Amino acid sequence: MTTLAPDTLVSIRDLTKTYVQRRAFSGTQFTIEALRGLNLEIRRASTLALVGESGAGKSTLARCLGLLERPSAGEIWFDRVNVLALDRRQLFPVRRRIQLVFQDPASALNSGMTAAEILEEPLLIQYDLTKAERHRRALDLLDEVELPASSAEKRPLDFSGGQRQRLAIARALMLRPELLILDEALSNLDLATRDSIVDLLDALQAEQGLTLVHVLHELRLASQLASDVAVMFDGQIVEHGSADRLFSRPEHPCTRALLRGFRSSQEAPEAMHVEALG
Amino acid sequence: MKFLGRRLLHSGVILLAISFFAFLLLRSAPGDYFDAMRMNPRVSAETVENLRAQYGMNHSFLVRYADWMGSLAKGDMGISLAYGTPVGPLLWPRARNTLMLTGSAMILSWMLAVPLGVWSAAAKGGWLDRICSLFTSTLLVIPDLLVFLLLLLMAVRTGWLPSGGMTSGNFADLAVWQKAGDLALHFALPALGLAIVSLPLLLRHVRSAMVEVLDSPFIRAARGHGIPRSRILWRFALPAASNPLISLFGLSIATMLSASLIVEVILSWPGLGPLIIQAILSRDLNVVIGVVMLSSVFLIAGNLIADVLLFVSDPRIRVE
Repeated sequence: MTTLAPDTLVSIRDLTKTYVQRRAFSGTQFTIEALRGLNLEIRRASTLALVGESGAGKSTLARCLGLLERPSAGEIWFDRVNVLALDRRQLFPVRRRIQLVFQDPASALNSGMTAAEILEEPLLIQYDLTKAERHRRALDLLDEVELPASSAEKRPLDFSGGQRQRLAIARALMLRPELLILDEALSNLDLATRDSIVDLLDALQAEQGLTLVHVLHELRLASQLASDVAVMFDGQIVEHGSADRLFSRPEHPCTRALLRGFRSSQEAPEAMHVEALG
Repeated sequence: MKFLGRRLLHSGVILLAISFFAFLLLRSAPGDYFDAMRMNPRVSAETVENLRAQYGMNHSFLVRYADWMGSLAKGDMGISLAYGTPVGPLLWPRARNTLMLTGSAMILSWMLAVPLGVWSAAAKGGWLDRICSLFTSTLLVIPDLLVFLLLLLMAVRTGWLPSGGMTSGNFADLAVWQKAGDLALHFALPALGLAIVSLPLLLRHVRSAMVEVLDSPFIRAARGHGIPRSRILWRFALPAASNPLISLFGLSIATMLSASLIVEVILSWPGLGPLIIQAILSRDLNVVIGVVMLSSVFLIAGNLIADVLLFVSDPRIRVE
């Protein structure tokens, strides 16, 4: 492979993902190209916001990066290993290093399990620990995400939306990943809950050198969360740079459009305020 | 316990309503058991009227219903006009035979439907899924009666399995293990027939419930943790998909019971099927109501078991 910067954790090369579907009545096949030769580099211990309109391919990229879907072509280098060249057994230890948090924690958590069982399950598979050790680590992590130890025996249904998302994050952190992908995971939360989760992620990043990838559909959140921003359009990264540069000197029309939406949404409350004052 | 008590009370009310309406409907049907006797020139009209009076058939609907309820409390369920004995003792051995048959057929069909449905869903679009889809589509368009007749034909032509009855003629002379073998051989054909006709629906439901669950984010998250496929299927997905399947279990009892009536008649299984057919033809009212009530009890018991299983398995129902 070509040389990588020393702080590069992920390097994605010419990634393509094609879905084959059938038409409802005729049964004829057609293809959808969700990712089209996408290239992206993610720095270690950085926070990247992957922004784009709906249908840009963000979630497909997140799933490919999270090793939940196999791309049709291309390479994903994680810590200098092309993970797409690994077989299932070789991939097993890599999985624990990359974790994904989904948008809807209610459907992302197994409603039939208790919080402790949800947290212990990944450990049961990935490490050879006793039940007591697993339970202790589950309690430690609940504490880390600011959930009380008494919630260990509760089921996802017994938690509020914000608490469920904390639990989902706790589950993702259980295996001490190096890369955490949050697929619109903060989008549906109220401001206070979102801020406290962002603080928590920042603390974990500072403490463990965690690399964060936020998948977002609007720039408003990206400006608050990330140091780097990558803009996706039609299955490709059309612009990638520091958040400061991208906000001050956007180059691609798509970035400028997203930025216009962002600015008008910022101005909207002021405009409404002026309008209300008459 | 409160939940169970409420459901039992609910079931009792339903059974009472079923008994009332079954009685009302059968009473409203034209003719009775003694109509055939009236055609016989050697039986006088007076004799027929005396017999009707003897069996309380001249009483009003409500009096007859109250009498029947009284005999139900004693376990008799009225007198069978055709057999001249209380209906209860007539029903119990046949009900046991029907339960044994439907119970074993249900176990067989669920034991086939669950693994096949799970594997089909796991390999959606693969060869196993396509074979299952073809198999279920074919079976769904074949009438139950034809399936049973084909099985009967196969048994008669090959001689591999007994073509009717529950035991062989020399059953009483056999040793215990030979008796068990003989019973199992006689069970095989009707149980297989029932399992075959109920399998397509169960398999399709298991598959569709699993396909939906396997697409859930929590399954994706489990895959992301490296949890093995078999554990994801059986420990994560199947319990999550079990709610509609448990409800289907209760409903499938009704399908199985109605199919068992046909298979029992065709394969001469001494269950409730042949009894109710004879009773309907001869207008033996108490036997018909007895079989209807027993079938209702089986159906309600099945649904009650399904409700209890749902209550135990799904925390959301407990919260509600």
